[in-house]
Amino acid sequence: MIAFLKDLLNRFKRARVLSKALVIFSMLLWLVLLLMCVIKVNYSVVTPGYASKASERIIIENDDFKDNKTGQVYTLAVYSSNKVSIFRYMLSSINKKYDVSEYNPKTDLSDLEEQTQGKIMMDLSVTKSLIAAYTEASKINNDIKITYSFQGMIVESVSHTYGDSQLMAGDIVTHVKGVKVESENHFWEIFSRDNIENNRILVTVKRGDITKDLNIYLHSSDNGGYYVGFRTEAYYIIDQENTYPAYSIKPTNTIGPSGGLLQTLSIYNSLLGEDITKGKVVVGTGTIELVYTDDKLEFTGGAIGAIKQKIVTAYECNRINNIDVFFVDSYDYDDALAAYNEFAKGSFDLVKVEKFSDIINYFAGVE
Amino acid sequence: MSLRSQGKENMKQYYEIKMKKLADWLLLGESILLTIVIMLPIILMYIQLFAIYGHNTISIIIISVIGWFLLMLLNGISNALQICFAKATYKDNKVAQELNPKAVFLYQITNIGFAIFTLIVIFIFLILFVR
Repeated sequence: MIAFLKDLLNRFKRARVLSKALVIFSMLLWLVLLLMCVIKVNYSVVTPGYASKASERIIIENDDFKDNKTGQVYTLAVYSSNKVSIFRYMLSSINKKYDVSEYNPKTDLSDLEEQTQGKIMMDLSVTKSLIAAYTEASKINNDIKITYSFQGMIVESVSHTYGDSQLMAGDIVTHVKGVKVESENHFWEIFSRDNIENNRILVTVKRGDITKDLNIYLHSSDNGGYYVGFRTEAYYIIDQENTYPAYSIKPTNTIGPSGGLLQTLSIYNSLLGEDITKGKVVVGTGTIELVYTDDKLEFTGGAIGAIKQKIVTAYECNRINNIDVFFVDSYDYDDALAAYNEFAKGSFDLVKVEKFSDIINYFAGVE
Repeated sequence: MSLRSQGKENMKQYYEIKMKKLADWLLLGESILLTIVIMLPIILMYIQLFAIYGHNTISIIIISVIGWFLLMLLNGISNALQICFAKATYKDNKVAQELNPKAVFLYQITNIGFAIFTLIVIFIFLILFVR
């Protein structure tokens, strides 16, 4: 190779000016293109992703339920990347189906923190889907039962700007100022101004097998209150020995809670003898939330992100799967409708869901 | 004789040149390395193109076809460079000096055997790794 390169250099020296200029231009172009692919900019890009069958994640193991149909229920995932290359940023910026937003490494979560948060949310989403589906199915089949308990509030991520670094994602807050946390509502009652002294509040967390008391710092906000500084939600565990039928959870690379609503439908369907989806191809998005109103438990659909990309994903999957209906939580419905009208009009029915029972009622009205 | 036929003939002549096994492998390795360096921006752009548009079935087909052409181009460049290296290394070898890198390039970018092989590889890749 060296002999060849020496020859090449000698030929370059003897070449005409125009040829030399052309070679130098080509090398500069090579360098510019390379730098465009390597240098990263502080932007995040969200692109459409893929649909995956909700029943692949949670399997009802009991023989009595083996022949039950899970239905053609799909959850939707999107791809998200922080700090993309200049080339990727430019390509994404010109595509209406993608979202490009500024990313601040100092204040926004890192890729690893997002992964951890997404994993926690995903695991919790599976638990909540099981609770919701089993509870709803037990209204029809008395043999079905589920036993679960509230363990505290799980920390999903800690803000770079307002968070206290003593807290870690995965911590479970069990007590606030020595008072045991009984429910999500109770947590927010006691995690309040009354218990904050000098911008600090004492919380007890479970970190793996260790229990720690942390006197965490809360930043003051402009309106006289405080920033919580971490993202948290209720953490439940299911007592599998007192749950019927048994189930198993398969590992997945997908993260985040946005498949909760459809996951619940898939489990619910596989717990019942008949296919309530009536053979329809169903996709959708929305978290599943356990909401206590006056001590009455309701299962509602919660907000998600990247709804535009999910509509586009569904539209692109529609070419293969002939999707019949797309369920979307009420918080994202307006944005979903706008994206639907722009990219997927007439491809499938877009149905707004406030509670999980809305999905059941929808299929009850389908012939 | 067309340029492509000359390229095919040149490849046969190249393999008939008695070189040490190690030298032959070295030329092959160096030609692949330089091809990758020359084509690096295009390869990186292609990978990022796949990452951005890989969600869409039609895009995947188009990108796969581009990838197929790219592999053929890489094969052409790498073989032509191998001939160039051989000519620069074996200046006393008459056969080596008569080889035409342009003809080899043309033959290799239209090499039907390699085209079918890469098509099968791409097909298997799509089945295994693309949702």
